[in-house]
Amino acid sequence: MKMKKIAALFLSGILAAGTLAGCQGGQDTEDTSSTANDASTDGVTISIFDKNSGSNTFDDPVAKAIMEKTGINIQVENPSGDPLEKLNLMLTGQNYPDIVLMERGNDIVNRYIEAGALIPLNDLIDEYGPNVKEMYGDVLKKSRYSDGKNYYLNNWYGVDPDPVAGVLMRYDFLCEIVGQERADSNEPFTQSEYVDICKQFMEKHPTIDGKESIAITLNGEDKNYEGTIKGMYGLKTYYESDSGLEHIAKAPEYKEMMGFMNDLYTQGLLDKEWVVNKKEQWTQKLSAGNVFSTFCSYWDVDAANTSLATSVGENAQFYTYKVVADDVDPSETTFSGRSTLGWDAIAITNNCKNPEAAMKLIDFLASEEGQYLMMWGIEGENYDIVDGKHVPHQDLIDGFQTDWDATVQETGARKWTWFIKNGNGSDGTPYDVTKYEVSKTTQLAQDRFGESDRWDTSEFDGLTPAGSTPEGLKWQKIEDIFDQEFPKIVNASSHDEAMAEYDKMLSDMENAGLEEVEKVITENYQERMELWGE
Amino acid sequence: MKKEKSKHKSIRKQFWSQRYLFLLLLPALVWVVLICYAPMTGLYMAFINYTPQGNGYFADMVNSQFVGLDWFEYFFSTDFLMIMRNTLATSLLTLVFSFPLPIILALCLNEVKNQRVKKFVQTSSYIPYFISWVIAANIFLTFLSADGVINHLLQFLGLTDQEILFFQNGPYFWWIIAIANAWKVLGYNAIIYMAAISGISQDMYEAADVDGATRMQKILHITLPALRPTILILLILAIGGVLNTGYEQQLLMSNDSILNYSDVLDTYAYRYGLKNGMYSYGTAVGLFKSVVSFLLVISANALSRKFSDDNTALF
Repeated sequence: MKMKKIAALFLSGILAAGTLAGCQGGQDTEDTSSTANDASTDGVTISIFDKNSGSNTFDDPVAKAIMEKTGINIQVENPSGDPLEKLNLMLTGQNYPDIVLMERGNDIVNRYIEAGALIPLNDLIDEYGPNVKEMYGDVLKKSRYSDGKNYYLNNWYGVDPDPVAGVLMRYDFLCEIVGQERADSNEPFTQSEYVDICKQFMEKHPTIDGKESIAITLNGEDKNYEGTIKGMYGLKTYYESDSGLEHIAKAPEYKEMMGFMNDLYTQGLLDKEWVVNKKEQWTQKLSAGNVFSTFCSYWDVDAANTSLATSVGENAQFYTYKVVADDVDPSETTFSGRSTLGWDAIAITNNCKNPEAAMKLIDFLASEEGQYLMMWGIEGENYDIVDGKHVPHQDLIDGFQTDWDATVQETGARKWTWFIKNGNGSDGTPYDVTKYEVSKTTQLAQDRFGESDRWDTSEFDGLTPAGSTPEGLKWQKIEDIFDQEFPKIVNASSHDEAMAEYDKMLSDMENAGLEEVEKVITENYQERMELWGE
Repeated sequence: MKKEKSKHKSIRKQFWSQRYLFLLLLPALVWVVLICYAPMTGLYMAFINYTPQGNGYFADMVNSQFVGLDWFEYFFSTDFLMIMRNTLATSLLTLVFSFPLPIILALCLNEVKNQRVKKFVQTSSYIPYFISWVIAANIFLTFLSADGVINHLLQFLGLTDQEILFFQNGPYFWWIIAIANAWKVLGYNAIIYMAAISGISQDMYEAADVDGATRMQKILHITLPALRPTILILLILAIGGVLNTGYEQQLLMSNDSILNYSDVLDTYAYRYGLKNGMYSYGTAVGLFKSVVSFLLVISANALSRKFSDDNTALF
């Protein structure tokens, strides 16, 4: 009897919910059909694909606050597996959600625009995006497509003073070799000094804990060493010659750089298995305690540093240093390549039933209020306003320094990073709460790399030929050749052999049609410069 | 004339009398058409330059520029030889290892009289089949690294004094993949043979015992001949899958220095088609693979029909 009652209650509950949902649905359609000018956002559902969202669920305090403030119901679609693959699949099937977030520098953005999958935002911004206009400013002009319209908004845009690449060295070993004073100073090392230090390390510590020591290892999978070695030689994305933009490998400095890498290998300083290292193996090697140096961004070694600090000691951490190639002036290095146009592009698709509501949501997120909400969390919970300034709670700062992931999941701060602007808000505090009080590794990087290392990558991003063109195929083939030859040059048994291999690479790339590809790149570049100059 | 008519009628009659059976067949038929044949319309992409224009999938296909065999031409004039060499080397080596080994394992297990040992060996050889490639790849990467178990073992035995960099030598990669593949499917395929063995009538073994046959003779003259149909069918399937080298193992274990040895048809189509959005080119490579696989199955089947008296051909 009781069971029956419960069942009946349950059923009527479902019925009631169904009816309510029905009413809700009815209201929705009414909302969207009302005049565009005061399109209400209440109860509208907006779906978002975020390539960076991992397996995050949209249910934390910040997520709830966003939905409450805007009245918009947000559904986040996570990338399962490779985000680029999913974006490509969604495009062919045209089943992308209302808003997509993708890598700005990738050809995928152009493919979406050319497919007509993205709607132009200019009118929407004029009407519903006062904050977008104010915050983005000149960035909007630079992000226009070749037809002069804006199809996406940038994420992590604006000038970012944070350094990127560097030569990472174990502080305790460096102190031992050159003395603590030198190890603490911000004076750059020359390439020969660096090689000498590596050699001394190998002499002093042939083995550590019974394992053969390694002077330098690299992450062969992500190739995050590229920024460092190119930075040492003052190289950027392309080789700028009289005839236009050419492949970076053609630069004379690039050849020298390859020679330097080969020297490291033939002298036994470079890990013999660097090219096999996936990210996990690389981190594992760095954490094992027998590696002296690596090339990457200073934050790439956070996990290794954490484990070294507990297993070996506080000083056994990797700190970033500036190393300058022998013929290069310290003011000509290019370690800190950053795009002022950001990492990601966020766009409204033509699948979006209510672009007005989507733009209202975007305008809120892009505003200062939205920025502080996404990056700092909830006022009173995670930060306070003292004398008109944002002051984060100590446990939030500590949380980010000790257990980043747990803090993000718990507070929701920095979990959803959309339309993020670099730099400081109007009260002088950084939009990014983790920059409020920087960690030691960040501080060191900021002290050691200066204004001269910074360069804007946005000029050169996404200039390569589109995938559906014959040049696109050729470009992919050239990339394959380059990827395969790079380790062969580095691992060549002698300098002469390395240089022969280098020449072979260039001629192989020429044969694969490099000239035609460079022509397209140069044309795209000139087109962009014209657009920006308007 | 009259005869033909009656035959015609009998088919119709037959159909009517079996109408409920056909009704039962219908869902499976719909499934096959929807899941297996309908997506094949997408193969048309291989002959056009598919560019999404936002008018829906089919409209875009019709509107895209027709390029004929251009994609195939590009493929055959550039990477074809290298990719085919890698694909065939990997899969033929895989076949050499993973085809006879399960038969041998099954025969051996059948001779084990201790049920506990038998169960234990069977289960433990079966486990790798369930290990994901992500984990298996890391096991191989670790074992075969410069300071991994294999190198230590080789140095200890004095077979080499310098560590061998397994993952930086192209042809080694084919062997590694072949051995890894064999290791993964060994136990699984052995179960199929075990099942076939358990179906062999015990009378034959008893008769052989009476005739004084040794164990070896029983294996060679009773078990193996009885397994022949199973072996042939699995061989036909294996040959049809020669171009299916898998791609997870290559993607997970390869690196830039041996890309020209590890790149097989599947990884190549994936890299171009899905990662770089060259849908049409990727489809062309995929279509080429399907056509060759199809021809391989047909010819293996024909051969099996020709060389075996009993009916072992698949179709």
